[in-house]
Amino acid sequence: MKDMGIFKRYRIGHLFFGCFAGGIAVIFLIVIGVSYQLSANAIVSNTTGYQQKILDGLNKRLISQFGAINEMSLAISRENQLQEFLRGEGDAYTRFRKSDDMRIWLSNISFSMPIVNSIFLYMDSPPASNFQEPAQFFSLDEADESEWYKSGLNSDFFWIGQHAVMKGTQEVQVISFARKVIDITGRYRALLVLNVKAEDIQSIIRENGEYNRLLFDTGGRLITSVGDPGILMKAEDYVRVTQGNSGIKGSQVSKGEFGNRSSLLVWSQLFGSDWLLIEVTPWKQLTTGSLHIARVLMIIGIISIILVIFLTYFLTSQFTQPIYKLIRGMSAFPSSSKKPHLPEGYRNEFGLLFNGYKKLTKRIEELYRSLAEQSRRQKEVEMQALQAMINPHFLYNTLDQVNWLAIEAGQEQISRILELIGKMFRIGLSNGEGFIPIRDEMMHLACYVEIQNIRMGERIKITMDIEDGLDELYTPKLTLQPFVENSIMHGFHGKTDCLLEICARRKDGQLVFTIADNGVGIRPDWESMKPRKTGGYGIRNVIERLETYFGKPYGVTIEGLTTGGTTVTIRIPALANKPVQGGTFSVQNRNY
Amino acid sequence: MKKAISWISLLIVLSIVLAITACGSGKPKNAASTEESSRKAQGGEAIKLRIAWAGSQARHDATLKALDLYTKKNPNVSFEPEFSGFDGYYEKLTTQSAAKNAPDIMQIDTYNIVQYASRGQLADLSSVNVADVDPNLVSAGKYKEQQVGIPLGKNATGFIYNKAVLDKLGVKLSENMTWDDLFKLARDIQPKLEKGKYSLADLSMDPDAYEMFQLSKGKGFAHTADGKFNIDHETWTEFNAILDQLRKEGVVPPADITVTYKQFDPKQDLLLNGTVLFLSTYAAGFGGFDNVSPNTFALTPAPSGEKSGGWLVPSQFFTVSSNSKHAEEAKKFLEWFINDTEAADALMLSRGVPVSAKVLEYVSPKLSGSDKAQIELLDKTAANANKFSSRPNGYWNFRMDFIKIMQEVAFGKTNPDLGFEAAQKKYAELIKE
Repeated sequence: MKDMGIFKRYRIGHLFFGCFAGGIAVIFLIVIGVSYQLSANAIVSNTTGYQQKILDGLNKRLISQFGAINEMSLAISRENQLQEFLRGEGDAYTRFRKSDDMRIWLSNISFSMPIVNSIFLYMDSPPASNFQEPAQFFSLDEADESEWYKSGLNSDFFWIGQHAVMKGTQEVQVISFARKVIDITGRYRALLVLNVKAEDIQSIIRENGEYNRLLFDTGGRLITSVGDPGILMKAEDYVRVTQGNSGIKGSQVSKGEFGNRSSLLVWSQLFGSDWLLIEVTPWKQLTTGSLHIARVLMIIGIISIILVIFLTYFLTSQFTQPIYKLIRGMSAFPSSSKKPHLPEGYRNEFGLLFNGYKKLTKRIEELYRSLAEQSRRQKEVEMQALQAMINPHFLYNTLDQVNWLAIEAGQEQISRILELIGKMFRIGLSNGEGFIPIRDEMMHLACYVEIQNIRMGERIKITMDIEDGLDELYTPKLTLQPFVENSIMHGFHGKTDCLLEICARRKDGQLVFTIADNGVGIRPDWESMKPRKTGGYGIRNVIERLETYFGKPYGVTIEGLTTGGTTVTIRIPALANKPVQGGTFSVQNRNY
Repeated sequence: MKKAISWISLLIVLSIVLAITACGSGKPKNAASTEESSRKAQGGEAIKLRIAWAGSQARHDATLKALDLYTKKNPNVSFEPEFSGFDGYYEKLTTQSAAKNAPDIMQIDTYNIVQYASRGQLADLSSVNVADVDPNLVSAGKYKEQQVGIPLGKNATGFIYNKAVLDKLGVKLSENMTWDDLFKLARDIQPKLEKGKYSLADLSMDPDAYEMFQLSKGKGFAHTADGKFNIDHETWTEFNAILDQLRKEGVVPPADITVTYKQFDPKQDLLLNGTVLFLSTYAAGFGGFDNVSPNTFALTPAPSGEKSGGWLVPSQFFTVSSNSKHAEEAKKFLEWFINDTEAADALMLSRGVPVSAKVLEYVSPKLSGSDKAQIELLDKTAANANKFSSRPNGYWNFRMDFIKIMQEVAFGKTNPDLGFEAAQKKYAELIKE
């Protein structure tokens, strides 16, 4: 999970915001890139097919145009009139007449074929010709000297790429077809050159559009070109590319090859045709559409990203605010006395979280409280135990001495009381144990009642009804005595026949003691009364002790009966063994 | 939370759809078509007028300048000029007209305007404003009472000569030179010229020179006013005899040199290349020579005899082809061409002396030396000019064959008598009523 580290390290808000906004930005960039690429590819393939079709069509037109020129030139070269003129026979007037007729005839051919701009005839001893006329005569030497002548030396006819000729005082760009005129004896007599205005061919190639097209012959010589001269530079490069790719049709995307400009190259050379047409489309021009798409997408993308940023910010703060509030609440708790303020109204996972946290803090607070209470009680018990830590031997000995004094003085009643007190002490101390068997508890109670009877003249009748088998069960010591004492001290005040019934029963695993008297009855508001120094303290002590030991549902209920008298019910667990209990200690083992 | 996610995805999908549709509709438009449409918006439909003329380079330059000016003022009208020298010009027009491919606007001469008009090849130009033009010139452009040609300049026949050489030789021409003066002068100068140079062009192959000669004898033009054959046998014989003698004396060049003459060609124009010193010409052609060799040439009226040898003509017409699809635009242009002062600034006297009195008045202060020479010739000729009547129908063809006949005579292929008969025969054959 190392790569998930950032999800652990950074703040959720930042992560959420970053991932969301970043993710959408990335998606947009991918969409923009892919759509640009796809549309560019589609455009290139469409353009290629389309251009190839057009180039094929143009090629066919050129074949017919150039074919017509070729045929015309053949027809002229075979013409008797020309042959006779070239023989140059006859006197001066005949020669003049023939040359003049030839001039007019050739001029008329040029006039009747508008595409033929001019006709040049290279021959031995050429007659004069007007520089403004389409038909002109030149010496063969002039042809020999010209650059274009060398390219066609070995063939009877050949095309000459775009070059300038003078017509009148104007320079005209022409494409020329040259044919060697051979006489009947097979001698090379003249060179017939038909000049086609380059503009006318260019307008065929151009088709009223702004295309960059180049026309080559099979020898890879540039015949003419239209379009941006910057793109058309270095024509031989284009031929190299097309010839490197075998086949008569093709296309290639050439990047950075021609003057560092990326271009799409589409070419067509019809089967059996002498013409290679190449169209060059600058990459920039091709991808204008795609760039447009990309730009639009980019704008939409940026707008969307801005929107998404706001949205993400909103969402992030909505999602992380509760978490931060919870964190603030948690860090403030429990040092702050105030309760952490958590937002209300969440019904989703946050609501669950808040409620859970609230419950948790509430429970923790409760636990704190009960812990404090418990420790307070513990201390009390400890204090009580400490109070009880008066040396019992001293008490026993003193009681024994007082008993002897009473016997000597013939005070048998006092002696009996002292005997009973000693017994009670013994049980009360019980080696410091908190729990004693019910038998001992009953004996302690019996001793106390006997002392009171001695004191009050046998007014109290006590009955003890302990269910079989309960004698050996354990009870917290001195549990019943305070209630009996309370009955005697308050309930029986001024009464002569006092009945006290103690009953112990086992009920559903509980041990239930009942102490019933027929006294005056307890006041209903006894619980709210201030504990007096002597009375009440014992009862409270018992109630608290039972609560501390057992808690609910155990405890004490006291009810005054309407007929008079009070019934106290004490419920404790039925304890077969002495429970191990913190805070108890053996008084005997201590060396006081 | 779930709502927010679906909301965002909706937004993304929406934006993608938007983008795709946006680019679908936003294809780059053809630059050419927008250019064209904006041009159309500026001033009606884009119109291209084909215009053909013949003449010297000076005339070409001036005319092109005027065309540019017109296009600047009327952006929807552009021109496709076709211009050349006179050699071959009419052959070309004939061929184009036969193919119904004639230019919208054609320059045509007095020699053949009737021929074109009679074949229905010229459009009616009656609507063109010619209020400021000399009525004589206007009527010369009429065929059967219909205006078919707009005259472009006033012209006069005469001789051009190499004044520079003559000045060196200390020769001065007399004010009213007769044919005898001319021939004597030629004979006098010839010994002073180096070999291969001749004082006079061989006028025996020049039908205009012959007409000047016949007029000076009081025998009228080569045809009568009503179009009958009017070459005078006696005059013809005399003319040929004189020039044959001069040829033999070496005062005019041999026939095979004369036929190499190519007008305005700096190398093959016999006057321009210095082969001859005198040549017959029209006043309007002077600029073409002067342009090649400034301050070299001068004009002198046609030599006289019993009568004057010169005449005045419209230098040329502009006509509109009856096949033109833009006849109205062409007429508008012609009206501008002859009446507008800005056009006059461009043209000056390249097409002869302006026909519009107002325009002439406007350009008068701006005239150059060669322009003034033209006007001077016109003025001198006008004094006792022969009255010019329009050439008969088919005269151009006759003229071409007449030249051939003259050449045959000059080359000695035939004698003047046979030549005369041949000319008479050709005339009967080619001239239609």
